Amino acid sequence: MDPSQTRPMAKRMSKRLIALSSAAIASVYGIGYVATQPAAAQMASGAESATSAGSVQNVATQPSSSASAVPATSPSASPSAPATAAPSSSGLKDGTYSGTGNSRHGSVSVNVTIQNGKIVSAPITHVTTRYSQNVIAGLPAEVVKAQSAQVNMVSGATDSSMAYEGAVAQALAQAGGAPASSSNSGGSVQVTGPNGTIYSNPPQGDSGRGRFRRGGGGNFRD
Amino acid sequence: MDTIVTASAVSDEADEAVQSKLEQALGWFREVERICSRFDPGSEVFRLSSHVGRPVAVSPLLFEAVQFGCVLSEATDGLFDPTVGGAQVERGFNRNYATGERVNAPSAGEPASWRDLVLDAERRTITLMKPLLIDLGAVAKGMAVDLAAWELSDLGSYAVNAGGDIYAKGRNEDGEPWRIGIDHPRAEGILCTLAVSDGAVCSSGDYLRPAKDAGEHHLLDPRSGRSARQAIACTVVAPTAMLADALSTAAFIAGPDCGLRLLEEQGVDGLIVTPDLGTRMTSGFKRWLA
Repeated sequence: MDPSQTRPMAKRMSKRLIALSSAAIASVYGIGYVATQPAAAQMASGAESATSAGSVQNVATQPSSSASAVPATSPSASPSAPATAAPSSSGLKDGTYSGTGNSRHGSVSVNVTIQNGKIVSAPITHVTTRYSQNVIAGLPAEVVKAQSAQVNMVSGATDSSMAYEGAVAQALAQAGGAPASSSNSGGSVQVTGPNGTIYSNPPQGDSGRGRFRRGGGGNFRD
Repeated sequence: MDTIVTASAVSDEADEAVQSKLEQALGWFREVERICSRFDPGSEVFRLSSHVGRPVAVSPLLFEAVQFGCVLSEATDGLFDPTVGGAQVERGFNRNYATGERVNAPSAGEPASWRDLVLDAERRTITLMKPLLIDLGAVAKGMAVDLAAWELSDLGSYAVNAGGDIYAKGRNEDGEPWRIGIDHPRAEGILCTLAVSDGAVCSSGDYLRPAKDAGEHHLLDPRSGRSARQAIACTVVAPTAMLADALSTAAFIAGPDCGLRLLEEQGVDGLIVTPDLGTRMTSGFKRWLA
């Protein structure tokens, strides 16, 4: 592109992409989507904060082992194992466990629900963005003012899935999984959920990121 | 998509009603991933890439995403190109991020570009005129953010954040426009803070997914086939995340001069960080600063 070239079409064209993207979204939204996963446990509904979240990673549509909806359970901070539960081969006790992981800019909390020794849901229940001190890197003075108060969220090309994995690991540790290490975000448990949910340690030689695929979660319309 | 997605709302409505809408909103990310993931052999776009030379009927979502990618390619003189997959595969971006397995995508072979796609809006078909890979990464995530936001539109004040691609409407719980920090590309902390009441904020940078060659990253300049170098980060504020996501990629690759010109032409605002940590902004960007 030659910066010195004027482009008479530019004014007419400007808003064209805006209009096109808006039209595309409206069209696709109008068609809706069909949920491919069974409904999972009710999410925690904190009275003070109407925030809900989920971690969405690869969602290959594998056949689910259970077609019926998972009954709602109330999330609790301590494990609530049913009377007939016995530790399954995964070593995880049934119940709902919470964990928190740290991200670059705050923290992520999850509630992990175990049924029959498998993870059936692991929704995020709370996200905090901590006070972020501004790093001023050559910004003009008028930009610097009023910049140091708390932010609600951060835009950047960093991803914080490690925080989520750390939170899940901490929850699994309470369920009888191996203790989560405080220095990395990986637990040491391999668990399979109804939709092929797998939580596993990153293999040797990897950068240290865990890989996690989550199945289930939330109220989807049929 | 290896990202955390959060949907937040500030509302007087009953908790269950709000939670239900938030869950509904999050479901759009699964839908977009199911259709658009280049790394999932079961995805629609992956299967599309294995049919060459004949029209393939596709879902409305995939059609709109690819069509938008092609229009964007034309508008950016090919700097944004959804068919850049071939070079990315060579550079090692062919792992399924969730499972780590190597994905044997159909080989791209000879050079291809967005012009090798033929779209028929009436029949809703896409034809690959030669073997190529379609990478909707820069369009799909923004699209999912917008679709999720539409689910929340009754709520008045809400924000959707998919790994830093954000749409925010209304006000936060303090009654202020949503405060959105822009991540500093090199240091801990925030580069600057925006106040947004109705807009999308998306960023591109060289620090998300490093390629296997040292020093290379995943935002390739189609002109050279190598990592774009003139910017280290770019943030775009636009009416839709679909557009902000795609333009932050295009402007990043274009570099500060052509990138900012592109953003101004398209009627959106943005900021580009250069390798010396200097910042350049569109003329209207300052109105977004908190």
